[in-house]
Amino acid sequence: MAQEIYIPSYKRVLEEAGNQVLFMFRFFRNIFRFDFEWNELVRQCYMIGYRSFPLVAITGFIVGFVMTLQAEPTMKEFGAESYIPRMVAVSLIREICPVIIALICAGKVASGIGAELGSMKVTEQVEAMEVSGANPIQYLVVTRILACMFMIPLLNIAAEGLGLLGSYAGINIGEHVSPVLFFNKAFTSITFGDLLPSFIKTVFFGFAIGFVGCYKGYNSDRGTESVGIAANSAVVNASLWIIVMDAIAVQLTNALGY
Amino acid sequence: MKATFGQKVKTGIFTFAGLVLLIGGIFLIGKNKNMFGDTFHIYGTFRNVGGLQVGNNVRFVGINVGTVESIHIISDTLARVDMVIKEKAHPFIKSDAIANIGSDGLMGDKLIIISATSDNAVIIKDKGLIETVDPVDFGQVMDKVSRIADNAEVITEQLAGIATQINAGKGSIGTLLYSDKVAKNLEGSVDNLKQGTAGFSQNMDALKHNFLLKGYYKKKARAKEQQETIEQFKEDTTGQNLNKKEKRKAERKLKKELKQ
Repeated sequence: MAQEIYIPSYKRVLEEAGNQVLFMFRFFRNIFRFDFEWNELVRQCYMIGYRSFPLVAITGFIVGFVMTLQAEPTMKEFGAESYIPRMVAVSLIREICPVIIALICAGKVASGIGAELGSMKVTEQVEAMEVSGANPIQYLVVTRILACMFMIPLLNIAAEGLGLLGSYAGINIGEHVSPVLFFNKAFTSITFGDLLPSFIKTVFFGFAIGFVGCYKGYNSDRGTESVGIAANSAVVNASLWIIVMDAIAVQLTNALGY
Repeated sequence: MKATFGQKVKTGIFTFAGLVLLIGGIFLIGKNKNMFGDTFHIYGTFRNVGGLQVGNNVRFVGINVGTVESIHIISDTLARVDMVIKEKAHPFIKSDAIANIGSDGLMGDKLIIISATSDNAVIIKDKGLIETVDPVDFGQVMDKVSRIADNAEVITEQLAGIATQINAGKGSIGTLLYSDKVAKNLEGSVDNLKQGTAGFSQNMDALKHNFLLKGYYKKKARAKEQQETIEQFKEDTTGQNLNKKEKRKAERKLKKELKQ
């Protein structure tokens, strides 16, 4: 009977990191192939983007609404009520919407991808694809990661728009402010330096969500319980990636003077 | 699994709507930063831009008409501020207009305020130079305020010292306020004064009855009486509106009375 070899934990971490890097190379190598699965990409965009929209829309609207209601008393105390639209717009666009929407999508999308690919692995569908000559990375991984990279920024933009709408609704509870005045004030304070880093950041968040979900699902063990583990670890890891990437993005944008 | 027609349409609509929102946002931001529409450029030089930043507003007659496009240091004492202004405002900004750096409210962003000085001047040229006024340096203001505060501190310290000495009964004012001895002395002095004045009035009465000075006091009393009569006469004649003849008659009568 073969004796089980003990591997120290730091080596396991390094092995995991190495595997992830290799998986990333396989993803990038497969993007630029002739037989790109456009149809599957559209289907994944539908599943990830369109079907996540209601959740993201409600979240965005409520975040804007609640932020306004929370900020209003303090701003009133300082006599700075007129700064609420600017404050809410900058906070939503620079930080709150990208991170919250990415975390929500990590919960919904990354777990879904992890569970889906995990169950395909368990039922040996991935191996069946390889045997039949189809490229599982091309069909399963590339389409999902790219769909996440396309759809998360769009979901974020939608959430930001609805967040501003929520903020407008929040302000109009206490007093009447015309929509023209509100959105004029909000957009006066926003610059391309706010919008573009936020947009670029969400592309990377989308990559993290798709990549972690696919990696965890694609590399799950055999056995039904590994499907749950894959889904769970996909969410946890994707959330961690998002927060770490956000910290790096803030440093980068500050260093670049945005 | 292939994407159905419905899924493709929904995905297309969703993507299109998202892109429209993004482009709309970019357009609104660009519009606020004067990136679209006709504009012209002017520049001004300042010794100190006081924290002005690229993208800050340019205001003319209280309306935001443009933004700060760039700020460059051109020498060790001067900074050049380029502004991009809406073409609509061009006919109203004259060559003698003055630009100064202000603040939007007490805590607000810095901005450039263009003020008109006359109607007669010609319209400012595109890429033309505008006259400027340097902003008040907040550091200098704070420096002055701190010097005033220092002086006030010295003054209050000295006042406190004086008040302590007075309270302790030291010095002339302290002794005056808190010493019983001074009060008693003052009381004694007042008594002496009272006695002195009583004696003096007695002496004066005695002098009035003395035969050497009796005539003098009588004369003085008569002169006083005459003066009173003249004043009474003046009051009577002014109130009655008399003509010249009547006035002369009255004067003669008065002279007679005075002789008697």
